[in-house]
Amino acid sequence: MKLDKFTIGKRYAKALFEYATEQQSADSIYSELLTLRKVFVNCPDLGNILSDSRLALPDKRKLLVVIKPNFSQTLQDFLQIVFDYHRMNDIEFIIDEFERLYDQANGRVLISVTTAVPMSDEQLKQVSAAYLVRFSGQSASVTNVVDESIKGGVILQAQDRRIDGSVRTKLNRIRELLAQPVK
Amino acid sequence: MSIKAEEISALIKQQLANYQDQLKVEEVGTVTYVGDGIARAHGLDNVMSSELLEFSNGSYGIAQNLETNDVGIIVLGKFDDIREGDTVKRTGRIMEVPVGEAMIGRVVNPLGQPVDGNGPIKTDKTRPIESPAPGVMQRQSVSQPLQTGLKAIDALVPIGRGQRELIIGDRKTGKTSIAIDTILNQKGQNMICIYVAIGQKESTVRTQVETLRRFGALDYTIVVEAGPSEPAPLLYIAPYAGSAMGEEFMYRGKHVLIIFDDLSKQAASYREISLLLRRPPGREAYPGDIFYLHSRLLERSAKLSDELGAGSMTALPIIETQAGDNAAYIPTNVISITDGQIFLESDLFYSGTRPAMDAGASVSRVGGAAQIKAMKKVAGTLRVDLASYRELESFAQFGSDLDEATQAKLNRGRRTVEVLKQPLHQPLPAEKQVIILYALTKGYLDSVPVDDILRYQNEMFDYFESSHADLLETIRTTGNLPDDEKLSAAVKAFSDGFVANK
Repeated sequence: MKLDKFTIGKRYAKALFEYATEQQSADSIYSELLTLRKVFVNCPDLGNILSDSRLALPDKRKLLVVIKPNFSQTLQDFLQIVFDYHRMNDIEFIIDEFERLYDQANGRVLISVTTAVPMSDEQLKQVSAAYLVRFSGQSASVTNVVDESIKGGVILQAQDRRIDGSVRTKLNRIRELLAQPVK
Repeated sequence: MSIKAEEISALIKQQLANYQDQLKVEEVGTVTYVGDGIARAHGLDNVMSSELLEFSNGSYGIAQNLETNDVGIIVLGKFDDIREGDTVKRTGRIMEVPVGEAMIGRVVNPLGQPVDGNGPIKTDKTRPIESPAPGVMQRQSVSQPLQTGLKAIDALVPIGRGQRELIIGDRKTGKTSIAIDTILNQKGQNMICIYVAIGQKESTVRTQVETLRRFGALDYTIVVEAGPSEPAPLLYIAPYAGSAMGEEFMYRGKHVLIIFDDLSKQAASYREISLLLRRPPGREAYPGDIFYLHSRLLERSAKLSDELGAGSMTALPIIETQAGDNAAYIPTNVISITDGQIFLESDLFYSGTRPAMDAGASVSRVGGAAQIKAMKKVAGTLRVDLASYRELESFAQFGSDLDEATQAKLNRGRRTVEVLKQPLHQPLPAEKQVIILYALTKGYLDSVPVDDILRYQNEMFDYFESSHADLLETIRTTGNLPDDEKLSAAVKAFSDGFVANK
């Protein structure tokens, strides 16, 4: 059976992370992977083109050669392996998983904060500080997502944990309450 | 009718008073696949097996497969507006259904929501749909009879309260009719009936509900209905939901009769779910735990010990066979789980023997202990009579000369078959069954033409009701056969007066 993308991400990321930790280069690899992710985010179809049959193998190699030289030797070797096994379309999952492992090792928490209006840096700092007080973690990296449909309030999500304090959810709850039959 | 504005705002205020503004830490996952009533979600690392999950569109689901990367979820209800990327939230609870007195007389879906259009059900009690069956010390052996009102069953395969008796047969052999007649006969027996219709045509269910209503049986019956248009997960949970509703009464010391109509369709829907969840298929493509599916369900029917209130739950599961094949996977499984089975045969059904019970193959493993004494006495020889009749019948077809004893046996057999016939929706109380079987076994029917037996029976009941009500009363209250002399004198008096049609 075909392995799903999460399994692949986990396997490759674990191997890379363990190798990088042994070489004491996890930090530099991580920052390089962030650059690599930017490349893939900027051209969304890149991963697919490198693994499916749209391009002939020599053409794909040419593309890879363009990407590779910007990175360290470790990462170049890694990219070559991923390319050889036709897993370039799963590279983003590998990076996600690597990031998770890296954060876990460094006690860093990724927090996504959804608000109706953009938050100031000061406010974001307060949110992350408040989160770290309540839950475990040494540092937090906060991203602010603006979604007007939540109307107001804050939705905080860190991995699988979500704290929903949005006005939309509150309104929905009131709506459910009013729809209940009178006792 | 006029409603004042102040009243409305007062009501709204009252409802809003319950609103609490509090933040909860939720555990969420992301839907990665939806289709065919199944969803897979990534995340939800701490979810427990069979935990209830809530999707962002308000639908609920049950966590089934916990795998390394994702969770396989069966969706209960609407899944067409769940999208990939939607969130799914843990609730920390397991699936529950509303239970209690308020459910009686209602038609509900497997989630316990009313589908009969008679407004909301006012009950605040719930029970988890999956709950462990009573253990060894919580049970006692079956001792009280459950009268089905059908002569063939009460005499030959008696059912006790707390027993599990399988009704098995091909399509159109009267399986559901036996179940419905049994419900009808529970009137005034202090019994609560639950009819779980799984994958039955909605029109059929409607007819059954109307039948129950017409005979006043809906006053003590709950109908749980999962139609064929519902997604497979609802069909799968329907019998468990019905059992949960029954257990509520059983643990309060009441007597419950639950009918699963039918479990072959539930097995098929579980097969569907399992295949979609990518569990490995086994024999007939059923998953490995198909036996456990039915055994854990039927084991919940029990006769509780006196300390626990001596309540009972009697289960009548129904299984439909294909072309009389009792050796298929599901039938053999359920036969081995239950305490006996009632085999229905299409040949008998079409030859007019209704209920079309095959007396030779049908057994009840515990019911004999639960038969009333009077019935035991009159029905003792029936099974042997019928068996020897079936044996001789084939010989008699050669048309050879038969000796007198054989003639007598054939004669008796023919009348036995005739007496055991019973029209639809006319259950008989035990005392009437006893007197007609008494007349049969004592030979009073031997001289009555076969065609007149039904008329003989009906006139006999009228005669006893008007002239010998005390005899009927004795059987009803004591369960024993009345004084033999009195009874035989009464039967003889009636037989002498009975005029056969020319």
